[in-house]
Amino acid sequence: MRTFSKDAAAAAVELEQLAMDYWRDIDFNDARKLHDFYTEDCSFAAGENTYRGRDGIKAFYDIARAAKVGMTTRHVMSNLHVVVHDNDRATLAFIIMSFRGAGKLPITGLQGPALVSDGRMECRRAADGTWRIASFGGTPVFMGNDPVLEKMAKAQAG
Amino acid sequence: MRTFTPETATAGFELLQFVEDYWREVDFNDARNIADYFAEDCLYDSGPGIRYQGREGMRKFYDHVRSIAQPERYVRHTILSKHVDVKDKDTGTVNYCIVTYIGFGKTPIQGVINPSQVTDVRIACRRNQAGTWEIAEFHGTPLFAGGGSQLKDLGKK
Repeated sequence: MRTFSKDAAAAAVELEQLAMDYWRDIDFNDARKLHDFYTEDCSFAAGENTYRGRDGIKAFYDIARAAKVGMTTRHVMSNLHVVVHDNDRATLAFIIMSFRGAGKLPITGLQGPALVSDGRMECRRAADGTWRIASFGGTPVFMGNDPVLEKMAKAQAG
Repeated sequence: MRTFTPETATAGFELLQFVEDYWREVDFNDARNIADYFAEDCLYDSGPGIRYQGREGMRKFYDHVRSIAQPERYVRHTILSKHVDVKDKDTGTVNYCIVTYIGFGKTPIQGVINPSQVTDVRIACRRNQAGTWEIAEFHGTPLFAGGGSQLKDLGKK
């Protein structure tokens, strides 16, 4: 079983809350500051597509933003597993369940999540002492009928 | 990006576990001691007709919840995406999402159960004189509602 020193526990809280801030920027701010969460040389893999650098993150979320106009989405995170390798490197693994719908709140007819994905972030501490994401990987495990994902797939292919 | 000292990390951990304790009280003790989680002058606002003030208000709300509960009804409020903001040693805010499951019958209830509701929650907390956390304000915003959602029943008549 794992143990945490006081400093490692504080780092783990920082990393956990980095992940919370990250998904809140997506759900509550249309991912407009999401590139700030990444290192300059980052990689971002969603399904079979990989984007590189902060400009790559902006490009992916420009596509996502256009695809989900008028929709309410919540990416809820569970099973967050934090491994603090040392003072400057850490790995996060988690599950994301995406709920999505259109219309006035509360949106009725909820059936279940549109998507259940495994997620992984490799993190590095930056020169200012804060954590950044060096690589992100998302792997869909269960997929419902999600018009937003269909629009995004078409935009990425086109 | 945010940083935490060992002290603010400890306060953050306390607040996150406070949220876990709160929903265990709701799911495993029918919220019979729920007023203890609130400040005397608290505000609870969870949608149309669901607005209560003070500990006495919280007792009234959960008396109402228990009064409309059907027999052999099981509820689990799963807590996800817990975002904690420690303002100082005595005040903090937790934002999170509740995905609620409701089923009827004897456990284990058979068949796939879809969530009955997805709700954004924000609680503003402060430390009391005993040094423990209390909820000063509770705000719930229902986002998605499915079968079994009790939103209409929970509003005041």
